[in-house]
Amino acid sequence: MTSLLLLVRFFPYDPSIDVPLERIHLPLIYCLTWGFHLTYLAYIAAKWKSLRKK
Amino acid sequence: MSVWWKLRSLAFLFVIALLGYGLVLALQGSPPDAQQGNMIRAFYYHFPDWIGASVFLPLNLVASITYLAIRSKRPLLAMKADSLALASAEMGVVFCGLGLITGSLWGRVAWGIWWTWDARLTTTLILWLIYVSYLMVRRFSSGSSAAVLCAVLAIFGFCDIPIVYMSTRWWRTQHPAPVFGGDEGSGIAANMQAAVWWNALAWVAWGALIVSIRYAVELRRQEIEAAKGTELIDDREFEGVAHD
Repeated sequence: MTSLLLLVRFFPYDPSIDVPLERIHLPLIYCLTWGFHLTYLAYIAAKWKSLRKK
Repeated sequence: MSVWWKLRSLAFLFVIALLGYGLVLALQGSPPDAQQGNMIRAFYYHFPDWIGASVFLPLNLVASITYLAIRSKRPLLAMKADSLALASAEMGVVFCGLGLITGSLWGRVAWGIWWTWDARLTTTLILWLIYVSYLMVRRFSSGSSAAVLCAVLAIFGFCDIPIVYMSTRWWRTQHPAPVFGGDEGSGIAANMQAAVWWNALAWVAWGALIVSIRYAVELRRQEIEAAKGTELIDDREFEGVAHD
């Protein structure tokens, strides 16, 4: 929970100029980008591992 | 560990440092926008997705045409071209898919809608679906004819890219006009330039590194398959001689 709060703090948010929805969507954009790329890297690593067994 | 893998490990560390620097610039090193506030920071991760797609999908086209041109004369080089075509198509699909997702999340905040069937979004979705079908054909078919079919599909798929690019100029769209190379007054503020270009560079460098790894894995797989095929032919020939 603490790490999640730290993550949210890392994303700038100013209630006077930003809409509440932004608080979720901006971190989601960054996390999904990293998540997809790292998942794809893990998929390649799994392929490589199965090839080495062959 | 071969020299190539050592180089890739070094490149991996370098690219992670680039991405980290880009992330800090995007979230802390650039100002909020006068109209969109801090949501403008979505642009720093949305724009590199399209730069990535515009690098790796054309690379898929070049590799596919090369494969078609040399598959009979130089089979080993054709195998390399085919492996590169697969690696670049997968990376292109990842970037294109992420561009659609991040665009939708940004659109919900900026426009109040997740999706609209305007020309830019629709042609982009079609592009993504074409390359997903390319990958599915590759996954669920085998043999040299499948590789030829995929190479031809890649050429047809590429035809959608200029339409996607020109869609905001040819039709009225919900999606804004081009930020770079658009009409007079297009472009971005000077204090946003560093965050935009560092992130674009970092994600393209990441894409190039991942494509090089995926290429090596796919090439190895094809070499193993080819070796198995040759063994099978040798065994059958030996059995044929034994029967004679």
